[in-house]
Amino acid sequence: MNNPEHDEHISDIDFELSFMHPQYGTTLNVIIPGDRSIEEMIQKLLINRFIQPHDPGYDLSFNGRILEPSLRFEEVEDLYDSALIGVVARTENVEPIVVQETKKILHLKIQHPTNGHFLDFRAEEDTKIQDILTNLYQRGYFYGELTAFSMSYKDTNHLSLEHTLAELGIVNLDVLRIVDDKKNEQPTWKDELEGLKNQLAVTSAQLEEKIKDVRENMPAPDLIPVDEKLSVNPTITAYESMESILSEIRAKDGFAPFIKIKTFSWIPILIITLLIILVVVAILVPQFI
Amino acid sequence: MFCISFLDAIQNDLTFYILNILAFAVIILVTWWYTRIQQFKTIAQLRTEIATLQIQQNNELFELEDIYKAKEERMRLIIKDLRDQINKGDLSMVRARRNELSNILALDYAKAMSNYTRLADQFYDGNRYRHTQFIENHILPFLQNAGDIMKVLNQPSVRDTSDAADIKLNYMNFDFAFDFIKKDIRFTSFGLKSAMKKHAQRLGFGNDI
Repeated sequence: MNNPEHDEHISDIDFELSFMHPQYGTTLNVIIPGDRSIEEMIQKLLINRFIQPHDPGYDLSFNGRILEPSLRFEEVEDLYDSALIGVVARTENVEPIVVQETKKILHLKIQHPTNGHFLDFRAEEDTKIQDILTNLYQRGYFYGELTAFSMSYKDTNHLSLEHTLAELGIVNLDVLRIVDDKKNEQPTWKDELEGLKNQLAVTSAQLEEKIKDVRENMPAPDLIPVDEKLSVNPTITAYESMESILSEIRAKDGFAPFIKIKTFSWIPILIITLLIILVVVAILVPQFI
Repeated sequence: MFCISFLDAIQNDLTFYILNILAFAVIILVTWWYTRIQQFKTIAQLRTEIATLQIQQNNELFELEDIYKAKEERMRLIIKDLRDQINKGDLSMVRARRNELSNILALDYAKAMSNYTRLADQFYDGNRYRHTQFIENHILPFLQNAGDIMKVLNQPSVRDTSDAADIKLNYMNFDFAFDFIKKDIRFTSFGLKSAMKKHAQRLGFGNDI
């Protein structure tokens, strides 16, 4: 199937179908364009002598239903590649089955908003303008903001989106134009400023959200790993002084912990005490003598 | 005969004499002031040089102190591992650590302290307070650590792992410490003398000091 995004003629769809002979059951595999009608196909089958001429004529059937002769293959519901189409010989004096069209289909040409190319488009007459625009937008026929586009017909710009083709008086083979409303407007500096403000508000809101997320997901302070580049000799054991380790080793052999040698001496105190005693004696003894 | 008295002569030329005396005084003052300024300049220059040298020596002293502290930390880690090996019961490792400790004590640790002490001796020469402070803060703790380590290395459970005799140190590796202390000793330094002797005995230098 062709990519509708790149086709100007939207009905350019091929089907690979198998046609089954009404009598022998043999099948003929054919690739046919989608715009071929049932009647045309039957004629082709006759020309190629797949089937013999038959006065009452033939019908084609698919999925148990007879296909209307004027119907095109692309209009057949649920048709798919490698589908089996049965060729059914009509019986004599039987009027061909005519399926009453309940809805009229309009063949329109729709002009692209920028490149000016025309697109063949078929829609029922009760299709709304909004639906046509949405359909073409979804198929990628034009890009941008959907709400910025409208349709014009003849001298009427901005067709009402809620009205149908029949209500607007659009008939078969009419030309509709897709119009880009925003392209014709020059944004003012106020609009630009407003746009920037809106963008700033959106960006600020996004930043707040991100900060909130980061704060919520931040691990607890005691779970933050130690940065080895900053910490000095990170160890998992507490500090032990040389003195404590040596005392521990001494204790294994039953020795007492080491005593720190101090520079204190009793000698000066004794000498001073002695001198005081001598002075006191020297003062007091003469009094008694 | 024109004989006039000395006083009369002075009285006659009083102004001249006064001016001369004044000029003399001014010259003296100016010379004195100029010399004084030059003195101040020289003193300031010398002070700046002294301060620069002191800062330089300070930096060198701090560097040597850092090196000494690093050696001390290394000793502590080796002793810590010795304790862990004793707990594990790995006799070969205990023996290895014992040997390592004795070598580092005598060669690395004592050497670092010796360099530090030598510079401190020059730096604090004449400053009795700083001298005494250095002994209290560095020399005595060093001797205390060395003595403790020797006791541990020669205690039965550690010594018997190597079937060797007690480790003995050479006084020449530690003489710098005792020489530094002796500089500070006065007749009245009973406490310091007593501490020095005890440290010497612990290290096995009882008769050497």
